Amino acid sequence: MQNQERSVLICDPTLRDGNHAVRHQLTAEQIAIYAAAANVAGIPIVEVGHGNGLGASSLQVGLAKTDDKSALEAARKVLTTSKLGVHVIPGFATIKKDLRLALDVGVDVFRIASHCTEADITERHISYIREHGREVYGVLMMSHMASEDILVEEASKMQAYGAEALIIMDSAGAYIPSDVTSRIEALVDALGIPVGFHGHNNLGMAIANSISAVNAGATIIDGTARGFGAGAGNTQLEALIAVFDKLGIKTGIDLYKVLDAGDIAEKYLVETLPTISSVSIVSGLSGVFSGYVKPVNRIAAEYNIDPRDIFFELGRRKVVAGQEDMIIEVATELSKRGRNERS
Amino acid sequence: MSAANKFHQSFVQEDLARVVMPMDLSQLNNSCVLITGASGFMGIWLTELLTHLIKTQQLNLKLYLLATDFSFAKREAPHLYEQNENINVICDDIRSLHELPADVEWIIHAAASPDLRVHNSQPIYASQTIAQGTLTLLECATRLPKLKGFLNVSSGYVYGYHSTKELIAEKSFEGFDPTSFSAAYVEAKRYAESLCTIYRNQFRLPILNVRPFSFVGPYQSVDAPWAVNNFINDAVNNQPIRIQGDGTAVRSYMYGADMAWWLLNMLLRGESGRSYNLGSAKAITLKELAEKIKHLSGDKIEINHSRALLKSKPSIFVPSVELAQSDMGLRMQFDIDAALLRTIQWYAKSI
Repeated sequence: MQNQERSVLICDPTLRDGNHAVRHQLTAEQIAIYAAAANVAGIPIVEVGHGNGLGASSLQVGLAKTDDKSALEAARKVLTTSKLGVHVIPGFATIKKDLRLALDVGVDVFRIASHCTEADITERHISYIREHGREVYGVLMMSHMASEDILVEEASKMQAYGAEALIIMDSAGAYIPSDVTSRIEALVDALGIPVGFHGHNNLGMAIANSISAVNAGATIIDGTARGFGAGAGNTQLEALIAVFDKLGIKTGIDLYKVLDAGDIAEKYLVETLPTISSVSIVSGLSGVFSGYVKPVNRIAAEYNIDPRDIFFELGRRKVVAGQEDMIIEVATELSKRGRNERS
Repeated sequence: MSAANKFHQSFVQEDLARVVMPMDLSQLNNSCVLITGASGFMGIWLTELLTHLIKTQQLNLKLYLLATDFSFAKREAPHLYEQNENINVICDDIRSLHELPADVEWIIHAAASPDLRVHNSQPIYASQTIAQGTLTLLECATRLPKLKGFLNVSSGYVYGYHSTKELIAEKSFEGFDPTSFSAAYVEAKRYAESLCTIYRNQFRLPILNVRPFSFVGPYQSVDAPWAVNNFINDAVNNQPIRIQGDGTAVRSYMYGADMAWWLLNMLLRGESGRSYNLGSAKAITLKELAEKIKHLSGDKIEINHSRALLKSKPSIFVPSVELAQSDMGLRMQFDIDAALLRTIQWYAKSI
């Protein structure tokens, strides 16, 4: 399969997943600068918004500096050839308030996401977007927490609701290539729509996992500039495009210009470049959502406990994105346990 | 009645006038028909056809319409339910049916959702409605003193997955994995057919099966998850038509009015114990379908292929209808162009 001429569609969530890395503080100006660079590079889809998607700005998961409307409008103005995408988690995003707004602003691609075992919650949102004639994908987050069979069942639901593609997210950066291969193969075999992969780099596997996904039949791959994203970061887009070029996998993206876009992202967006820190590795090993890294570090410092202990306990409890409140609960318990052991 | 509803009524009457052929309807006169699943696409079309015949052929016919929820039907076709002395609406769940009105002589059993969204999200409900619902209905039918015909509406999916170019005939069964996620609907339909056979054998009930394929026309929900609905929805909203994959999947489409006329013929003239395919034998790829819809909509919209290139798996879902044609001489009055044009006209006025 590797030697055949293949194409993949690249989706770039730098301006959405990257928002996790700066506590959702991206400004409209920053969004416009990077979106313009991505547009020039020919990146097919540029995803924009709060790290947890449309309508997610809140005390629980973080208040965004830029509201959805301003962020989307800033990107919309400069995306002349690239499509504007949004990440949508039903519950955070409501149909009347948020989807309607995004339709009005001119969002092209809606990626409706749920935890990997809860696709049922996406039916109304997917149907609504289909009725309004925009592209809609289904996204299964934290996909490492489900077996191939369960992923196929949940993905089949999304396909039935009208999803035009299905993306699995390695939200915790927990996969190694064989995990990706088996899941993507099962999905490609079972579904009649394109299948995609969204990687995180907690175990240093993001690019290898993305290649495995393509070799297993995935035709949509996510990557972000400089890997700007939650936890240890996402699949680094510039490196991904270079590797795909080397493998003869066509993306339609101009290599020099995507390298330029990476430089622009580093200069204008990134506070600290994502690295595979000890805590990120533990996040990947424990299978906890990469977006937990910053709040876990902050709360661990506050409670004077080892953040790695928090991650392993969160992993044992199988927490998912949106359950950030649990961090304090776990930290409190670990702190009490520590005091008891010392006394 | 609103202007839109008046338009619906006259539109459908025109269609029915085109499909109704000379036929001896004396068996239906002074009788009583029960339609289960009466609030869906098939049920509404059958109700339209029978009320059309009541008016145009001076039939004395009583209709019992059974469904759990008539809100869609009453919104789309209020003329059928307002001050219509021939119609008796029964709002009930077929699974909990205890007995049928004793004067029922004909049954068209169409209670089941063909919607994949329901099969996938509520597989227990979907399969129970078919399996338990059919069993309950058959039990009730054994106590009917004057039952003359029982048409069990099954599904073309009972044949399993087909990838060759041959039309699917009534004996063309392929394997199907009963443990697969998508098996709930199909296996329930196969079981329902088996139940019908068992009741026919043991109680000598006059039962036959009909296996529907793909349809198009008024009274389909515009958001139904089938390619033809999506394409038409895009076209009437002046949006680009988007094709998933390479557009090589092959389907065929029968218009709602033809479907209703064929169903009635099968009920009255079909041979008890037989199974008949219902649909169009004229194959069309999804790519050709999109082109036709674009053309019939005035060639103003674009057709886009998904940018995530996908080579579609061979998928062919087209029936052979030779048996229905040879047994009953049935012919479609709406070819694919006419069917699509009428549907586009309907939705253009309705959306």
